[in-house]
Amino acid sequence: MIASLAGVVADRRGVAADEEACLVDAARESIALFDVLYQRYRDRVYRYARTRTADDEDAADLTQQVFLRAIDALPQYSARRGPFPAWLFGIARNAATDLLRRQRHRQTESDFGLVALPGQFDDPIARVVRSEAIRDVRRLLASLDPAKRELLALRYAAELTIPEIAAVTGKSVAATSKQLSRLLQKLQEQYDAGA
Amino acid sequence: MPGHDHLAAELSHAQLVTHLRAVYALPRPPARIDAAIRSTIDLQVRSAGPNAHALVEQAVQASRPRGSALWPNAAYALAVAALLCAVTFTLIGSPFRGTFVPGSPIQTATGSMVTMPALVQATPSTHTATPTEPTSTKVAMVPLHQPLKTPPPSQARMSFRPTSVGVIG
Repeated sequence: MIASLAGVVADRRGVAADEEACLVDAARESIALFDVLYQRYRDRVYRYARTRTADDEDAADLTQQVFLRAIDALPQYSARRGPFPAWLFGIARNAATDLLRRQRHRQTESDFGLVALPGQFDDPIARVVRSEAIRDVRRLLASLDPAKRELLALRYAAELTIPEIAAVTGKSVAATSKQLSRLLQKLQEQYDAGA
Repeated sequence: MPGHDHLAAELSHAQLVTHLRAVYALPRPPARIDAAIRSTIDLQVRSAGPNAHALVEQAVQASRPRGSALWPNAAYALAVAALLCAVTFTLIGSPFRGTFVPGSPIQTATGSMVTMPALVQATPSTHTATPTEPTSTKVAMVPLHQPLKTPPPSQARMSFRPTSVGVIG
């Protein structure tokens, strides 16, 4: 049962990947179709940008910059370098690093737990989760070092798969998977201990 | 019960992931980003239109100066050559230094003035010009290694120093 479900999920992902590859190819041929890719990734890029910046305005600027860079670089994109989301979030990561370098005098890296995030959530799951629990998790995230926080941001804000995260960070899939698994386990232990 | 512990752990893990997703959930980005990206896409679409290539070619043609397209390159080459000559002359000295007009007096190292005989003399040509050759006055070059006809004593040990201006010592 589980195997068949996994197969269905894998098939769906394969279809989605094929569809996306076609979309990227079409956007390379005609840039007008980039709008479809933009709509598909806008919120994810913004969420990731928000984890790397101090406020909503910086996150919006960073998101805009990421897509402008992507439009410029799209003719050079090749599927052989990796999946499109990994390429796009690689641009986002570099743009965030550049922004951080430019604004070194300011506190630009968002530390969840200290910087108040907006209280309104589009995600219906968030509405049913107690605000106290979210605050606890934010506090735990704030205690992590930036590399680990970024790993979680790529996984849960950018919604990348583990192979995509590996492609963005330049590590192996196995190492990324192990690092993420250990990190979640550690967070879970701390969360349970706190609870 | 191990099974119960495992289930509790799984629930806890799922709960944590749910909390993490909730932490990272954000409202949609501001609409100004949409406007900026779409205007950029529009610009790109316009510049990549079917007439874009012709427009660019027209603009390039209009920006070119009138006349031969070779002229700017030739002027540039001349300017570079002049600059190279200036640098070379500054570093190693001008090849025109130390030259003199045949027959003009030159001051020697002892201070006396001497007159150099002409090294180049016009001689009547004994060569019969062929129809293809222009019938001009032939100039015979006297080799420098030939001894001068009547060297004065002061010029017996004379040597040329290209780097010293008009001074023979």
